[in-house]
Amino acid sequence: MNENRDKDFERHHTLLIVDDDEINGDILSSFFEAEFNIMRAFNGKDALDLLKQNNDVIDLVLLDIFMPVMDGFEVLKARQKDSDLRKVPFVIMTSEREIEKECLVIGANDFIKKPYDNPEIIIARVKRMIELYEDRSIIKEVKKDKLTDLYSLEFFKKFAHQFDILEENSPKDILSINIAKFHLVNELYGHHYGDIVLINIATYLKSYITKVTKGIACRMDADEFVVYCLHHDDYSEFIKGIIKAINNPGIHVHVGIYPNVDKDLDKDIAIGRVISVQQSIKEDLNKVSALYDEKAQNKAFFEEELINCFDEAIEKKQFHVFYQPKYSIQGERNVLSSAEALIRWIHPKHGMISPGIFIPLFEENGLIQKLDNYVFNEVARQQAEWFKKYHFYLPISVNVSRVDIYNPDLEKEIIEAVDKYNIPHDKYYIEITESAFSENIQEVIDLTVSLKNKGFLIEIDDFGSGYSSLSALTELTFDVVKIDGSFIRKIDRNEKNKDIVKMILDLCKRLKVLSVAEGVENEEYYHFLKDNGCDIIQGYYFSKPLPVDDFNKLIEKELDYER
Amino acid sequence: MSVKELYESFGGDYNRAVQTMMNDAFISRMLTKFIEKNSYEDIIISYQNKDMKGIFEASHSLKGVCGNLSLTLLYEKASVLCDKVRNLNEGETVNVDAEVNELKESYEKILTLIKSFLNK
Repeated sequence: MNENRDKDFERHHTLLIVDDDEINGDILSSFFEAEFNIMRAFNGKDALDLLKQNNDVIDLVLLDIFMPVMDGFEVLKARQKDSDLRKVPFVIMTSEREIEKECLVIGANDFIKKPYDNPEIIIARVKRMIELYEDRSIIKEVKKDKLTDLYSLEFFKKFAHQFDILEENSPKDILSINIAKFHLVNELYGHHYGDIVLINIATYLKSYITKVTKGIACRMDADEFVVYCLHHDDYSEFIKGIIKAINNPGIHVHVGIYPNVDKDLDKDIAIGRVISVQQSIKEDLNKVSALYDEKAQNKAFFEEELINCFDEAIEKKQFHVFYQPKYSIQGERNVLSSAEALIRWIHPKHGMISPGIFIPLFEENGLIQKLDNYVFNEVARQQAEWFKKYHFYLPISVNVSRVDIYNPDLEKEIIEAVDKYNIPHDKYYIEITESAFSENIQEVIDLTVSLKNKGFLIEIDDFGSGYSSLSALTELTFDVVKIDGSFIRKIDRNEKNKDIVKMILDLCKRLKVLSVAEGVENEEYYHFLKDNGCDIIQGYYFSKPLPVDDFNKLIEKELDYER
Repeated sequence: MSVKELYESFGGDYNRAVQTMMNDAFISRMLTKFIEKNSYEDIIISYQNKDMKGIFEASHSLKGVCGNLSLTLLYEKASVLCDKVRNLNEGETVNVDAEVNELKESYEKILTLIKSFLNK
């Protein structure tokens, strides 16, 4: 801090030399006049008057003790009571050891022995004292916010650490308080009024953390306050207190609450989270507070990470297509007839990520289009591989997201993928979930008709789970109905459920479409479905979705049967 | 006579004076102020009034100035007097006749020599 200080030190520093003896004052002045501005006073009263008038200018006072009118002791005592005077260091000039001691007690900062023996040492001591006080002033200014007298953020964090130690076993919360559109408050009511609002909030916070709870508070930003305090379940009274302190129904406040903060969590992160949750409601003047939900936030962070990883995952083929076999069950034996392509994400850090997590996420932000296209190509490529290896095309069902229905290039992408690997169109089944039909009936009709005309097979997936009307069914073009697994799993509950499934199976017969039952898990379901004419079964009864290598074994087993 | 010779003539410490006041010109200016101020007069007035506190304050002040001007002999005389009247209780007096006379003698001697020097 002191590096290169001397070069700059002499600029703009002022000493006040207080000595009734002109000669002593002249000699002392001669030490400093090359490097300082000098003011003189010849008694204590004149010295105090000069200090009051020039408080911001005088950097140090050299004070004699024995003086007429008001002596040095009285000056020091007056200084003790005045916070402005205490900002200026006082160096006493005396030959008396006992006086040194007495002066220390009443606040003197240093001494210069009389008679003056070494000007260089005296000059150096004065300079160092001024530097020391300047550094302290800077620290004090940084420590507290001038307007509100709350801690600055840096000291808040330091004291937060101490608070954690003091209240080690007590759960704590972080609160953030923000005035909505504060710049408008200043414009409408004036900056002075805006300052009053801030001071009133700060006063309330100080009262809250001392009388209602224990904690610390800071003014983090122009209109942003942060409180770290012992945990409370309910902050409604706190919020009422803030609103009362503002005392203006036209001024709104938003409060973020982060309960039970982990004391080991970096305070910057904790503050960032509570501010984030507070900002989530900043446009809503009807909402006053928002609660940070750690689980929800972790989920949000995880999802953001997945989105950020997506392109790399595509490039590095972290998405793997698994295949769940479908078996035709109406023959003498169950025959592997096709398979459904199901995407899995083998993440290098998180391992296997369920499509239940990333599919809805990518549907929300549009990445699903790229993912579907990836699957279209990957499936067609695999079918080509199997053809090469086993000399037949196994029909594969690919799922088209209900969001992807809106993709104007969807048909083109499917055809490009299939034709790229020379897959016959009738071996490539397009699964469209029933909810897509009910949401976008015309788009689906147009798409399915067009694809059907080009030789693709259309499957209605999750049949029964949506709200499609019977009349819609008459307009749609489809080849297969996949009965939603939720119906299958209720077969054993009561007759009504069984009847519904029977009805769907019968409907399929009448419409001359194939029926596929999803989610068949046990023999009871299998037999029921077989007995009631279900054509194809897919489910854990036969197999879970398999990676290619394992699925190959199923194919080989099937081929062995056929031989 | 040089400033150095002047200091030697009244038992002053010229080397110390130069260290404190840097040059003869400044020393001369301070000596001029010293004789104009006549600090000794306050001691005499207090002495005549048997004002112990006044004697203390005046001798203390004289001691300080003499110390800074490196008027060693006078400084020592003023110190003796100052110490004798220090910490007296209210109303208490001590006999300081000898100390005052010695101080007076030294002061007048130094005063004469300085005046003589400055008038040249």
